[in-house]
Amino acid sequence: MKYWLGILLACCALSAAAKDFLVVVSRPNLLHVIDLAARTTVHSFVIPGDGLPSAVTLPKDGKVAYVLTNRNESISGIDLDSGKEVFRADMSLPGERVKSMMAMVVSDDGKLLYVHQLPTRMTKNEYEVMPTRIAVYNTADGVGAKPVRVFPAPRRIGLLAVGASSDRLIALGWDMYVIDGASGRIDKTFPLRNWKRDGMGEPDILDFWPQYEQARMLSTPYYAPRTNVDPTSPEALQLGMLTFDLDSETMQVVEVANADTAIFSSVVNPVNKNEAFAVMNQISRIDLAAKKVVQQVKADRTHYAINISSDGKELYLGGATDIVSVYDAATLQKTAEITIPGHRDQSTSSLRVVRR
Amino acid sequence: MIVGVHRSACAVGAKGFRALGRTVLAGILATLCAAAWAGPSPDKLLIEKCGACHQEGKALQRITTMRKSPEGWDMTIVRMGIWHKVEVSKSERKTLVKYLADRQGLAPEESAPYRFLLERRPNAQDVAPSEDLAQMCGRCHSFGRVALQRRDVAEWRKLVHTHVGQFPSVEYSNMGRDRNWFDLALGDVAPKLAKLYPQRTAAWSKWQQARHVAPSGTWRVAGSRPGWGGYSGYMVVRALGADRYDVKYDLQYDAGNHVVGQGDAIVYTGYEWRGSAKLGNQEVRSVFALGGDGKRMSGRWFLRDADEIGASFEAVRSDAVPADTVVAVSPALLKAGTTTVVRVSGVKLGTQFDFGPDVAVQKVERVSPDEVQLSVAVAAGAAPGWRQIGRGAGAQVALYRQIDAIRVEPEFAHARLGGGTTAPVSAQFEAIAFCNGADGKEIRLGPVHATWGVDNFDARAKADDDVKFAGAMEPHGQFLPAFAGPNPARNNLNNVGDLAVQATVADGDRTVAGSGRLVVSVQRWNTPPLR
Amino acid sequence: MKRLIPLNEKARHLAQPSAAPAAGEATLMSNVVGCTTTFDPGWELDAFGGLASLCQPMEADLYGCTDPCWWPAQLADSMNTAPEWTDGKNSALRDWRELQTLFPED
Repeated sequence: MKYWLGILLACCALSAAAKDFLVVVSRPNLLHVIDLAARTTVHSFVIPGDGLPSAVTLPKDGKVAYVLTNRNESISGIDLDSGKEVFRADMSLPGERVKSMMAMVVSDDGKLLYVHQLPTRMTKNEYEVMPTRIAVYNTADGVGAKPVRVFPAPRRIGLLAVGASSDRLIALGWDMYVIDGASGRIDKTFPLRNWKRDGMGEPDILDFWPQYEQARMLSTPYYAPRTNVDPTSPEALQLGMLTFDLDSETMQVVEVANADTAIFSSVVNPVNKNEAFAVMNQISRIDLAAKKVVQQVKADRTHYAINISSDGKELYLGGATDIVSVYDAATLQKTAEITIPGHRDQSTSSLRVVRR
Repeated sequence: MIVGVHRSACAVGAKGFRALGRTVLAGILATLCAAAWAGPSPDKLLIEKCGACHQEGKALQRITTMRKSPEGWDMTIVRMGIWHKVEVSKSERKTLVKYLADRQGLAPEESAPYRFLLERRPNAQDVAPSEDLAQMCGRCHSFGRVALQRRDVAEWRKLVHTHVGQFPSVEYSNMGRDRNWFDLALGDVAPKLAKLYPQRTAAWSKWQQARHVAPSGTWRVAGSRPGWGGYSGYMVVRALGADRYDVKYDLQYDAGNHVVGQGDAIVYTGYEWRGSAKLGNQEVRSVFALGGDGKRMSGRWFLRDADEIGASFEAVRSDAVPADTVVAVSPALLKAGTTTVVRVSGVKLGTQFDFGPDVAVQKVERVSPDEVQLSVAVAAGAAPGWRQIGRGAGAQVALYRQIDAIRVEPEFAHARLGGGTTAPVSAQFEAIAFCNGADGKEIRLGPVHATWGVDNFDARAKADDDVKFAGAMEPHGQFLPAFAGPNPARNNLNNVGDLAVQATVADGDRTVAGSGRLVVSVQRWNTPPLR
Repeated sequence: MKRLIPLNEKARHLAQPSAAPAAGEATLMSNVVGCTTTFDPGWELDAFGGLASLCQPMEADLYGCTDPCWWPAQLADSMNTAPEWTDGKNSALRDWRELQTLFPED
């Protein structure tokens, strides 16, 4: 009786305990799982091999975290319960150094892993830069996986996402591309660098931060000049927000303020998709419908990355140093700080929120 | 990694042979070190160090298809140590730089436009021939680093491949991500560079065939050290063989201090003088160019450990220029309506100088065969402007009635915080006096004594009270930056700052002020000779 | 420089060579040799011509620059060039003093 009661309680506890975890990486080659409710790091797993991890991607069930590491040359899949490396793809080959500039994503079902690659052929006498490409891996191939498909892709892609199905690959580079993950064909191009908007010059976007999993809305700040105003006036440079709905494959761009400071990345509130938050030296609340920054507070330090709890109530600011700062989404008041064990810098770590 | 670059062949030998018996070890070591001491010939050393990767058959690839300054070659050799772990000792590094710079250097007219970079002039303005080249090359490092190299188009393209292969971020960072950087660099920039800076030039062919005059002898020198003022003196150069020289300095500053020094120098490519010396109690380096058929030398010398502090340097060879050649007049600024004692320095000076109308030389006193002292009376109505009083570039004085403006130079400067293993980089300012000429145009008179101050540059700087933290201004116009690292008193901001610099100059009963801007920024850890 | 309006002086100068100062006018601080004009957000100066948008403090951001090879001319890049530069020094805020300069003395 006692035994069965225990099981029952455990089950209740499990289902009741489905909660948000933050998954981040840090130097030198560590993967941290943080229980957000408890403000506690529950796991710090050592990723095998050489380090400096950066991008992190997880399937929907949040069981395995795939980390770009080995100085951007390898992907290591770490089981979040056991800490075991269950997947490994070393992209470089003898005579060919292959890096990825953080553009990597695993499908929601956890079966396919896409990576944008920058290969350089290295002979003893010179370097030869090769065309960029996207490599596709079956995660089931485990440690030592080789790509099952490779297709050409534009240069300069820094962010990947998967759309409504695992073969809809979203890539942010010069423009926003929707790529057929099976054939490698670019199915749709949403112009950014090539946009034609009256009175607006080309947008400038720097985005390596995958922070779209809660709202399923890829978002990024951008800067764009107004070409129909005095170039020395404050409105001559605009801060804008780009949002891309991963399921409907629709993109929206809105200018929200005169630009007078640098902002690195943003996240959309899963509960109110007209609300976005952006971060660097400040935290900004942006009303996408009203097209304006409605609140801005100074952060204690520089953060590159921002993510949000599944209920939209808490913001997590990370990246750069060894601190994850927690803010109340309703007030932008800081409520907690979580230190990465051993004070190890997160550097360019992704900041991923999973519910499990 | 740095240790690897420095590690000598002897040290490696000792480590590798430690397992052997003591006697055998000693014998092998003696042989090894004797061989290393004598050293292979430079061409053999080049094959030994570089051949493993660059040799195809009997010929060397890559290395032989480019020309560079001595600093450019030094950076290449160091880069091979850092990137590919090639072990080159300090003496081997010197040997290779000499060998390569002599055979594949730049002609004097090829290096002339970018000597400011070789001379490490602080706060120098970078120059690029066009906007696109400035953006493509000059946003990470100076454009001068590019312009001091010569390659054909295939070799420039290989450099593009090296950049993208080694620094993949170049396509992602600001002003790289807004264009097809890689395609543009290969298709557009490389051909442009090959046209601007080709491997084969008439200038280089001519220079290779020219007879290069050795700098041995006595030189009459003059220059100006910002913060200290002008100087003149002598440099005596004695040949040691193989383009190496022993050098003695004897300098007299206008302010009264007398400094002697001794050191050595090496001449690369027939004209590129690189020296090191102890001048007074300071270790200095010199970067000069020999010119005018070996009759002139010019450049800059600077402190070994703080290259932003240094002095201009102009020299003529005493036995090669005519008598009466003037190198300096001190002071060179003469106010109308006053009488000033002026020292004239040069080579075998006479006593006749023509100061032009409304100036009377009242008294002449010979100090030495190379120096005379004059009492010069300038009439109140004398026309302002520069006047040539004799032979030589140094034979000039400026007349003025009043100082009409003061400009702080550099008007925009940067300094760097220092700490840990990186030394601070100070900023030396000068107050430059200007007067209005008869034609209404401004006449630049030169540096004058000033009282210095700093303040917050703008409201943002004031909000963080930058002036309280960024450092301190010394009475001679040198800003000494504060310590690096987060400052708890600034809410963990560094001691960076955006400051206004003010110079106040007394001109009789009047005061004239000028201002500049100083950004005190963070340190840099990569400090090659060509930034 | 089509994207970001060049609010800083060097950028303005680069974007419009005709806007270059005439002789005798102010020289431009951000054209200074040794300073970078890659403004993400900037190393010496930010895109807005000041310091407010730079990372605060720089040490917070140091490894965020070395790891993805930002500003390889100012810093060591950990990606390819100097992989050992930060070995054992995983908190830039605490360990920056131990980082060595990259170019060896001659």
